[in-house]
Amino acid sequence: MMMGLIRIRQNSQGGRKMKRKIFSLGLALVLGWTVAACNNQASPGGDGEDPGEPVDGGKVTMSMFSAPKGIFNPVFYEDQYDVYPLHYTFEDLWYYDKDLRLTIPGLAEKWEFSDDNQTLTIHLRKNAKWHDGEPITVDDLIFAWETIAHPDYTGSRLYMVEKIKGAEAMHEGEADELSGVEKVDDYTVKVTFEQAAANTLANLWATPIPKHVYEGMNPKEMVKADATKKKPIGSGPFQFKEIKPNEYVVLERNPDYYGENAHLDQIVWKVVSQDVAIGALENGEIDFLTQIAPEEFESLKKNENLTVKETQDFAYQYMGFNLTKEKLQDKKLRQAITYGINRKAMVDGLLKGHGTVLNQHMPQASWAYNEELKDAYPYDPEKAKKILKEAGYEDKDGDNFVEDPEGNPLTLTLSYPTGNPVREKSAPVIVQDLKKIGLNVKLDQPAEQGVFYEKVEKAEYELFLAGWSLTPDPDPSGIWMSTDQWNFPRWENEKSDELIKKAVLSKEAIEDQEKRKQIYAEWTELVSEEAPYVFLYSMNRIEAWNNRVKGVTFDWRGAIEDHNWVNEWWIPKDQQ
Amino acid sequence: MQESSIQPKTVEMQQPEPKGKPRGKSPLQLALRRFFKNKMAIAGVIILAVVSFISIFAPLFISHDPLATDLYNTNAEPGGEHWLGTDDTGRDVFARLLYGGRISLIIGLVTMLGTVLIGAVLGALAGYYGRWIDALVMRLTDLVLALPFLLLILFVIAVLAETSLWILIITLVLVVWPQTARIVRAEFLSLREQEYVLSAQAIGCRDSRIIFRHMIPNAVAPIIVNATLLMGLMITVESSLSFLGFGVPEPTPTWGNMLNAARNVRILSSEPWRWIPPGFMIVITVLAINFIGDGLRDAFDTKSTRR
Amino acid sequence: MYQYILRRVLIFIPMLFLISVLLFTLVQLAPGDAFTGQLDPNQDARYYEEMRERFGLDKSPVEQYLMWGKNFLQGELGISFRHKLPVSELIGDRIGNTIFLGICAYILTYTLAIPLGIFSAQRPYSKWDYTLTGAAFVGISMPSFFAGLLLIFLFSFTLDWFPFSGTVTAGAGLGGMEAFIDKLHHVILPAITLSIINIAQYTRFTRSSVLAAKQQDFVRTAYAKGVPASVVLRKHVLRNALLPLVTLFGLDMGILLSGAVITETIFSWPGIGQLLVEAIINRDYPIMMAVTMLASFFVLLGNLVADILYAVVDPRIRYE
Repeated sequence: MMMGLIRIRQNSQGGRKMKRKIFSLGLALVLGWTVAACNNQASPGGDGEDPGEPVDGGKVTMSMFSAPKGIFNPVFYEDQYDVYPLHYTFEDLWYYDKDLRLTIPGLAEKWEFSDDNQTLTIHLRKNAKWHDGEPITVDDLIFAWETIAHPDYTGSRLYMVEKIKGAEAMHEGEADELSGVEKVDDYTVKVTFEQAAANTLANLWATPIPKHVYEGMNPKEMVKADATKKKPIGSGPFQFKEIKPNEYVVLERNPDYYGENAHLDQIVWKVVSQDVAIGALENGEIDFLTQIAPEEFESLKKNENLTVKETQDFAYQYMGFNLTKEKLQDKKLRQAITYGINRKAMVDGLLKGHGTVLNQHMPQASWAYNEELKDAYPYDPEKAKKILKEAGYEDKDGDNFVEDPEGNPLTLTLSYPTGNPVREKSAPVIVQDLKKIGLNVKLDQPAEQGVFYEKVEKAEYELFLAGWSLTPDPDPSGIWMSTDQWNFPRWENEKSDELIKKAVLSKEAIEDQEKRKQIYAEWTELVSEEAPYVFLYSMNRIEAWNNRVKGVTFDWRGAIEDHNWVNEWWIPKDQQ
Repeated sequence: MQESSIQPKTVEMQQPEPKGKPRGKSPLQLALRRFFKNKMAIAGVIILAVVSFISIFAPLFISHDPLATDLYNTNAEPGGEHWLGTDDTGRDVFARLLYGGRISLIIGLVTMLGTVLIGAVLGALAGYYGRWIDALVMRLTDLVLALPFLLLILFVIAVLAETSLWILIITLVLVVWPQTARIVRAEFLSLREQEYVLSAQAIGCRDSRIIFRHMIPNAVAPIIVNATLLMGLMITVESSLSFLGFGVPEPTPTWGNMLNAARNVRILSSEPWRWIPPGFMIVITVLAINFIGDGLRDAFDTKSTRR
Repeated sequence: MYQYILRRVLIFIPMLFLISVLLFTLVQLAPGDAFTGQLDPNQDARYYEEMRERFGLDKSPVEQYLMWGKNFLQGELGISFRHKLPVSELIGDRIGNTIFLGICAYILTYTLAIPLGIFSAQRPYSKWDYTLTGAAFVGISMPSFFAGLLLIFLFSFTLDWFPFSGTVTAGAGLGGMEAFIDKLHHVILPAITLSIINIAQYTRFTRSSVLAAKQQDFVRTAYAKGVPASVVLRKHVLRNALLPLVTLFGLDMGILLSGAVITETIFSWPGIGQLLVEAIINRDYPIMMAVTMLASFFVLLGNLVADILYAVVDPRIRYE
């Protein structure tokens, strides 16, 4: 499930008003949430003090802001809170290291590509077992792939097997199995892909599901099966103990984990509304809290029972220009607007400093981040005014707003969706900033997300606020290619398309990440110059936990996402 | 909504008409006299007047723009420049409180007027003409009344997908009118048989004249009572809708969306200046309106004394 | 009487039919559908086409309605867009919780409001009376989400007396009596939040009813003949004053269901109110339709129960 987690949070980062955010799958890119390097230093709870030797026992309580949908199967789940317990109960083949490369072995012992990079051989470890004691073999992996490729599969992970040869045919019902998959023995499998790509591994489904449990069911039956809803059989350091629909999920230690057994007896996930979750954390009623709004940071820091951490996130907010509107086709105007918005103030004021101003599609945490663009568009209203003037935008009728080069009044409309409190607050701020450089921007009524994005897709708006949440793999196709459905600004640029393709498909990019990075550097600079977006900010992910829990690792993916060494967590005897 | 379900039931246990009440005055005058003897009602009038005054003339009391953000002065504590501190985008809470009062009162007032207008017209038509008009209107009210109030509002707002002050008000009106319509209809059913109406019909008065000149004025008491209580209810409903994320959208201030700050337990405990003022204003305003409504009900209800 | 009930129940059918048409029309008017806001660039457009087809969103409105109606009559309330599960199952999982919460709210309302109302009426225009009246007015005027949050702040966080989320203690593995007590412990704050408005109204109602009844001739007669005050109160005053309260039971169904939407959201109480809010946010129309229909059915039923109870307790009323 690691690869396939649709990140809901980002879309509406930050906030108290989870109401809408949790439920709307909104705009999210898929983000692979996986384990980083094991050698990454774990940061023990309770900074500085020596926590002593880990002991077994104890229970940790986590909160979910809304009830999970109860589909506890990595292939089928869609809700954010279904995936949380799945992180600890289902293992992946491989995990991301701290450099965002898939190098850490999980259920796979090793894997290698053929010379043409089109065929991948995966060797599974032989000592891993399902929670019911059955061995985990490549049959379980192939079963997962074939379930996703099955014509009756209606989940959203199809793209994660699509690149395997024969997936298309299977999905169309023309074949019963994947022609590109060859089982060598119980622990070895060869997969052939349609074409070689730099991100083959990142885009391949990597979570086996127990074939013996689901044997003979088609995907429609699998979703409803008891093995999905009541007693899922997984492979991780924890196993399901009790599922109370709509209320809580209790996990208990898996005594037969292939790695080091977990210290904790239990992990409980319970539903606590976001409005009271902060209080519950401070009160010790829950031990972990994620998705903390920036304005909570300082007050939580003051609580000596809590550890509060933040890290850069793979998500950002932006203001898009609809380039199909004639008045927005002037690059100079777009650049002036970018200079004219005080994004630093947004980060300082709205995010209380817990975020960064962004000038490119690549988040700072990514290896593809382009240092050169760090300060590309500083806040400079004077420069903005100068650019406008040079491009012919001047205030001739004395109403304090500029007219377009033909002398007609220029009015722009800014639209934004509901659901993300920080974004909602940023809209009037942008309008005020742009007024200062002489642009007349009207604020549209906020629209409900579904409707908003429908209109964005149909290119009905002029200026619009939206956000993306990204995968560790930096491939921007899907939202930046000229013909992409989600290329919201409708920015068409041959050069850009060429670069995006080159970064994934060219031999040099496949073989050398540094080369790939250079291609992306060229691409981000092109985007920055053309300015189809104003990149606004990237908000930090803030998480906090009770100091009684020791051995917690906090890295670029936070503390509790993926299985993140949950087996290392422990609670001192006197605090259990 | 809530009030009306109780109202009709009380009639039966009314106390017999008190003896020796002054004669020779119009019912309206009598009602007003009774109204002004009711201390709570007077308190309500005064509170509402003060609240309305400071909201309408907000610029006299505060120079801050309720929409002006200041990202370098957010969540400031009360005092100095900002009497009640600032909110999370650095807007002046006091200014928002006063201007927000305008919006909240507009919601209450306009919804009430709209409801009364639609409700009274449809109710009057149904009560006066009877037959198929009555059947049609009554089935419509049955329909709307069978749907739980808040659920229907949420349903409509969800369907509209965009919210604004006016969309909200129209939705509220569409959902609340049946109550008023029913009250007016019931009143008209009994008025229709009154002699002065019958005689007006007999001398060939136009229906519109009979309805508007003769019947409406006589049905005005229950309408007014119903309307005041509705107004209070609407202000509360707006804040509940804000809580669910369907209220008047930012940046427009309303007491409801300001009170929403209290949903965060930290703000609830450590930044009381953010929620006590709007909370207090909502409660006190609705309280005042309820006092007035109650006073009016007692005043118009000729059968009752101060109970 | 039975005929009357039968006739009233039969009226439910056209009513619910009209309601379903109304709701369905509203849904059709809505821009977008459940899949428009769900963007995942890795997903090709085909997926959304397939999903729309699967849920019949590509058909004409009339066809969709007929399909929906047919399934509805067969007890199939549709498949939730978001949960991908039968709506009947989703409702079935939660309705018990809402009913439990509702019953507790009713019990609280009657056990608190009636004594308070009588207490107030026994000493009209005293300090106590004014205090209670004032409190009742504040109760009526306070938005219920605000009341709920204050209760959580006070009784959960500050005093730590009651839990603030869920219906049971997570993973406690309690059984029998302990489990029931645990459940009661969890229901208290939500039930108070849900019933505040009703408690306030019923208190006021009881007070004025009792006051009015005390001035009735037969009560004065009873006093005059020297019947002890407590007996008069019990046998004459209360019996007459409280009869109408019985019928409020049915009439307040709508208020209770509306209140449940907010209360369940605050207290993470897994009931149909919470389900509805979630569905509305997701534009999950099958759930919205089914829950609203169900709520309407309850309201109609409540009205009927109110009328029947009224006939039962008041022999003067006869139904034909």
